[in-house]
Amino acid sequence: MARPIWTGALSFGLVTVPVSLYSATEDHTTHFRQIQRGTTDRVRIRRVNERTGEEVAFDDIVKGYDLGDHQYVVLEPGELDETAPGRSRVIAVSAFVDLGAIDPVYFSGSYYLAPRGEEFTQIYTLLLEALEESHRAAVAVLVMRGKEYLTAIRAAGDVLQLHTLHYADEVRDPRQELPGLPERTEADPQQLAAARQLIDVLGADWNPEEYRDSSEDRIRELIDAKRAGNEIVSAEPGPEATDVIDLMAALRRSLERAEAGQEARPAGKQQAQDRQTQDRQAQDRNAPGREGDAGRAAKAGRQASGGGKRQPGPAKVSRLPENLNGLSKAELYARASAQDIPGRSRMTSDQLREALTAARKHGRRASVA
Amino acid sequence: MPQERTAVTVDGRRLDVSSLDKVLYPEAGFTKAAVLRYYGLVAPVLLPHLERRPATFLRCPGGVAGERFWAKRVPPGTPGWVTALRVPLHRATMDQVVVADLPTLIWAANLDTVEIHVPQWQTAPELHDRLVIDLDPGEGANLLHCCAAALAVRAALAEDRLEAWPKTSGAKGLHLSVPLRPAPAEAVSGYARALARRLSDAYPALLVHRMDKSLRRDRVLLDWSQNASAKTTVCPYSLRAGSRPTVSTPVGWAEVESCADPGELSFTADQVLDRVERQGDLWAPLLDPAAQAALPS
Repeated sequence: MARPIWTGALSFGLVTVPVSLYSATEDHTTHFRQIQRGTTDRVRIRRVNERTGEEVAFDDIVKGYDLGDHQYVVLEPGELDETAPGRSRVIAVSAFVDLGAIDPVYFSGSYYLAPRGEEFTQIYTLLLEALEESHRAAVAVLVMRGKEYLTAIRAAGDVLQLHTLHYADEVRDPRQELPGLPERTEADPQQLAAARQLIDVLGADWNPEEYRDSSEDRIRELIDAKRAGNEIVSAEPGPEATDVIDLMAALRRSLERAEAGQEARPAGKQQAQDRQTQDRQAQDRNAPGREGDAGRAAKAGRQASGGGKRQPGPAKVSRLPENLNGLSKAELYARASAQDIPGRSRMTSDQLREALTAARKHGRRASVA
Repeated sequence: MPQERTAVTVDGRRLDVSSLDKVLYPEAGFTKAAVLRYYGLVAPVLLPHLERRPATFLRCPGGVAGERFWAKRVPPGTPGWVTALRVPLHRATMDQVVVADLPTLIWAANLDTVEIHVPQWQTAPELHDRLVIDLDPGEGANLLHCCAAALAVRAALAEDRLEAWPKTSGAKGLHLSVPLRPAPAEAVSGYARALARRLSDAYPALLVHRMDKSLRRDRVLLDWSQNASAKTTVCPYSLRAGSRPTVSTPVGWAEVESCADPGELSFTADQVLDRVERQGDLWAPLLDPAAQAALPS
């Protein structure tokens, strides 16, 4: 169920019905995101100062009324708010007009009015029937989102429809807008008769379902065809790829970065580190295209250690092997987890120490080989 | 700026995960990626316990030591495939997320959700299918006191032909859960309160049933109040937002009986994954409808 976009009361003189307002229409246009060609990177729109090219904070943007010649009347958001109409919760009907007398050019948006609660359905129906019988529309003012709307309310089947209307000064005068508007001349009676005949032949009942937006259909067909042919844009593979990947692959990448960052952390006890990971890190750094990752890992390491300033040293620097005897069981366990030592959760402190030492030796041998 | 969002597929659902490198547990260096990985791997045993229960999320965008907040309502921007449940709230209603599948779980975790809490009912708040007893140690007491208390509660429940399954709270205490044939909320609360009174009278040196901090010193609070429909309890296998990434972990009664050191019943995410791999879900019997027992009248 849709959400009401406004709630309040509809007031017809002595009678008031609490109502909710709902949009009667929606837009079926296909929506696209802007991305840079050849990538899946979204394009972001920034507000920049036209002269300096620098980004402008939202709070620093005010409205300027253009007087021409680089002169503006500046209005602060607060000043505009003060001119807004009060938060009226009443749609006050001021007149009932002949529905056919409203030129369609005045119609702007369409909405449905619903009674708010079963106890008001009776009075709602009463108004509906009265409007239907009289073929009239109620003209009323609605205050919504700080704006005052001129509206016409009419009976449409079982529901009251509310149409927002343009104010008269919003409707353009065609004589001023259109070039070469013809003067009315006497039409040739024969041509007029032919035109009338054509109109009669093409005469039909109004049936909106018969009409389709063929340009929208073609856009959707194009999208479907490209999808079926797998012609979906995907980014270059690589550590910074933004294409769709398996979740666990994405997490592994991040965890490897974090681990490398922790190993590179220079502070205190962490200084001593395992040969095996050090070697792996060295490989990582030497691998092409991984520079970015190493930099990020260093950053993550700094964050994790509360702002240590040192960059990770070159991979060749040898560090003392950690003295495992000085570590608690929890600390040993953490190291065993980092190295994925099997069966670690069942091990005693001594067993963990043993396993870590073995892994270290193994790591050395591996790096020599 | 490095790329902060990554588009991933989870069980065929496409979603964006972001800020994977963010450290959520600074002391342990446990990142958001590690939280997502944990929830992704523990999902098979976690999800059945969340079925049809509206979830409350403890979200920690600033990490466990930083900004955190409770989230009950379905947040704006929630994907259409996330299941919601309309639940009563005072005189109105609100929509809450039901973590019904892996994509929903990962989506929630990506919102910096660390803890997941659920009520003791499925779908309809008037009918409870679980009874929960939260054993919370006061100052001077620890998990060992809770273990003793749990054994006392277990014996008392057995007299009423009710069977309880224990889990750690993931912090300092223990939770006991009893599967029930769905019973009116008030009846379950009433039974739990009476049980708490009975036990604190029987073991005055060990148990209290009232909240007053002063009474709880060196004792265990037998908190029955989480049986109210509006209350929630941390779900099994949820991480806790403490200094380390510990988990509310289902344990066996043998472990409760033999526990000699509080550290023995404290499990981190990694250890829990290890346990699950070896033992499966110790709480699986709770999910069996045959385990549901009638509340004594």
